[in-house]
Amino acid sequence: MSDQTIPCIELNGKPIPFQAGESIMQAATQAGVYIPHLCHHPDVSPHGSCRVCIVKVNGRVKASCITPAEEGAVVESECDEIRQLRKRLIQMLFVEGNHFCPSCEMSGQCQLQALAYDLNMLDTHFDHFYPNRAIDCTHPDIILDRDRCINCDLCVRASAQIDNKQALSLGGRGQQTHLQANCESGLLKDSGIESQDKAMHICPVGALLPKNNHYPQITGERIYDKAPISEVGNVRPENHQGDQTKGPIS
Amino acid sequence: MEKVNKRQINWIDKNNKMTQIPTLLCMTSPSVPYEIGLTEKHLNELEADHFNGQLNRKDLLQFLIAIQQRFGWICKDAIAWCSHRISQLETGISEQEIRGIIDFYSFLEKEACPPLHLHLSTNVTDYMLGQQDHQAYFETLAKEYPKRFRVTNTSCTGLCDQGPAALLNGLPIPALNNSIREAIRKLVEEQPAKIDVAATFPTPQDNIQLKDQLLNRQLQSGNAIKRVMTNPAEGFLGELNAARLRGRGGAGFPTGFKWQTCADADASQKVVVCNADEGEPGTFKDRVLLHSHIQQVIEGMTIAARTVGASLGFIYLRFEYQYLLPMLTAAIEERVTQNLLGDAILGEEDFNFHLHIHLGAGAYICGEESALLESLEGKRGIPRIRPPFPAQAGYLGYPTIVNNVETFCCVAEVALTGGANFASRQCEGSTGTKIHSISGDCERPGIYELPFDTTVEDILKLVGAKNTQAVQVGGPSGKLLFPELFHEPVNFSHVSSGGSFMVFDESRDLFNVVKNFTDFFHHESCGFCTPCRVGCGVLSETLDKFAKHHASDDDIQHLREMMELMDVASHCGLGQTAAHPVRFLLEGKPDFFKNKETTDSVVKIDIHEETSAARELHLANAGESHE
Repeated sequence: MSDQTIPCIELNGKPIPFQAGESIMQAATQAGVYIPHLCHHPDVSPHGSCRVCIVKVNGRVKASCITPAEEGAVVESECDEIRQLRKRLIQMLFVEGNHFCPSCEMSGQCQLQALAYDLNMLDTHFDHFYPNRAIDCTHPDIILDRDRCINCDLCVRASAQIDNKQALSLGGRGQQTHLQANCESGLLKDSGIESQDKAMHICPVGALLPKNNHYPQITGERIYDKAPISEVGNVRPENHQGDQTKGPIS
Repeated sequence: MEKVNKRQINWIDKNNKMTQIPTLLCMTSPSVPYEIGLTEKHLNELEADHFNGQLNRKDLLQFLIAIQQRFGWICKDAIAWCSHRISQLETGISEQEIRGIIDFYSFLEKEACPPLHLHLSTNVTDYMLGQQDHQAYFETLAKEYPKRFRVTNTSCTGLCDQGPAALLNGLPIPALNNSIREAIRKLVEEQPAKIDVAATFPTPQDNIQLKDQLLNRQLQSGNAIKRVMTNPAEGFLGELNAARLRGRGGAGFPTGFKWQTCADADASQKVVVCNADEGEPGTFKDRVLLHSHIQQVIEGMTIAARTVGASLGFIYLRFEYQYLLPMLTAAIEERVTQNLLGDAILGEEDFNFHLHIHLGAGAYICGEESALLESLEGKRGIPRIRPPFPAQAGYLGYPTIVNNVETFCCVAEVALTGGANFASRQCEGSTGTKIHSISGDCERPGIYELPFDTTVEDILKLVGAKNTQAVQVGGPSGKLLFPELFHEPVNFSHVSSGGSFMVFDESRDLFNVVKNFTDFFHHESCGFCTPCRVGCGVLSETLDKFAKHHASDDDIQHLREMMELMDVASHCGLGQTAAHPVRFLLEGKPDFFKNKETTDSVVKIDIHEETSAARELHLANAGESHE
């Protein structure tokens, strides 16, 4: 096949080839370009809910994870306007939940925090909601801390599509939308989720946490200590292995 | 509980399993007062009578509604029973998922409810007619008799021209007044075993003020279908395109294009859905059409079925309009006996159309067509990712057309009088007529059918509106118009409207109007996407600050940013338009906000109120630890 017949989109001024049926996000990832995202993961079906992956497609704002790539489409993912909107979205996710980075086990490995740094977020801009959300510590190996949950649905999809369990789902409506365990009690211990499940490790924040493996990476060796998310965004944090023996002070 | 003769059709679901759908999924009238003592026997009977003895996943919402209507709430045992029954099939569902669905729909309750439950409508037009006074009265009554009576709020009940309105155990009571509330008090005090709401209280009126072609039409059942049947099935698409008909639900999408897409789709089954989830505050014309022009609606749906090749249809009826169920059911039954519905309609082989009614359960988002399809499948009403569009893959994956009630009436009109004739009445490309629901500050609120060259000014004159300060056209998701734009015609090119027209005179504080609409969106956001889920909360809280005179210029800036963000980044129309009320007032009359900014350099804070949440949390935790 000659080069002319491969369909391309123009992403940030460069041609990016794509296969028919691929989303802009998929085409970009294939080409090694990172488009910021939270609810997207290449191993599960797209969802389109966090809207962090918004890009401009021929001048219109679209979520790149659910927008099909089309021949000749001009896509901008890093222009000032999009970065500003994206920063506001990240700030909205921060004020909606109860996120306390300094003590969080996922600090340095958290995509929400990494995006906040990358977008130069210096404050949360809006008034905090301070919601009162239930924490579920019933499982012997896993904690569900809804304070940190961003309702991205990744664990729901991973449980259904990779673990074949359907252990989790989203329930409720509007601001009361919440992650729930699919079982009679509604408690994590009865949901069938296990610590080796993909659902457990796919969380982009720290809503699903292991009980016995806190702070697995030494400060300085965490994925986003090494490089900003804009450079390593397509490497999944769950696959990152830092040096376990040395930190910045050693 | 009424019983109907079951007629069944075979239906092949996604897993290629033959299942059967009962003709009318929903045939239970609400109990007033609610019954107590739900047992397994009740559930088994309900399943046997209305769900063919096997509750399916897609019927779950209808089943939950049936329990809700009879007992006023859905208890733990009922949830467990549903989970158990459905989990015997391939696709199981846990109790917690069912609780998650109950939490999504406003009218479903999972906490015990007293025998009488009054929902007071909170549309701005209800407040303009004195709702607050009734609210206070009923709250006092509920405090007096907490075990017998509960009062809560609900979004617009579609009775804006006869407000303030309420629902008693789901059945409408329009035009609340002192004698009605005394009558309700009497019921609470005397606790009769059976209450006939329609006989005890006033019933909703059509209140048609001005008729044109649709409302004048006295359709002889079957006449529109017969005329269409003289041509091959696809022939009607030509008529529809000649009519240049656009959807009447608000978005104005070309009907012919939607149908063509569905007709072109290659599928073993197709579906026609009538969107009767009239949730846009200030809109009530679909209620009137369903009540008095149902033949045109069903005839339009039947023509759609023939044109696209569908044999299954649903009317998605909002919970607030369930009082129409017996009448709609009778209309369907009658048409079945006339061979205008069912198999081989009017003798034409392969012209089969089975029509069912599906009740909503209180979720504005289900008016969005893909959320409506999710709800039809018994799920939480979350708008789907598009493409694929419903006309390509809709209900259970089958190509589905979803049209508004009024659109189907127009279809019947096009079938009767021809597309060219329909298009002959036009203004700048908008063809036919439009039915408006008019409420607010005017002498003659009600239903008006008007041509598309009618201006806002013309309408205001017609309805007897004086000293009009502003008009909200198309509901909260539409436009707030000020006198400078009253010369504009209400049509698809200028001021587009799904049929809501609310008038505000000079005595009204438009800030309160906008706050009411913003709180409405906050309540109704489905919670799927970040911009809408969080944005609606930010808007509501920011307006609260203005209401308390705690706001500053920064807050205006926040509102502006949020308007832009929600408009471009939201997943569906709800989020994209949720900031419209704020936008139109901020751009048109910024003084309504400026007047409410704080004038003090020191903001006065009520420390008791500000710390109340923390105190409640502390008390709750203290309570837990004592247990």
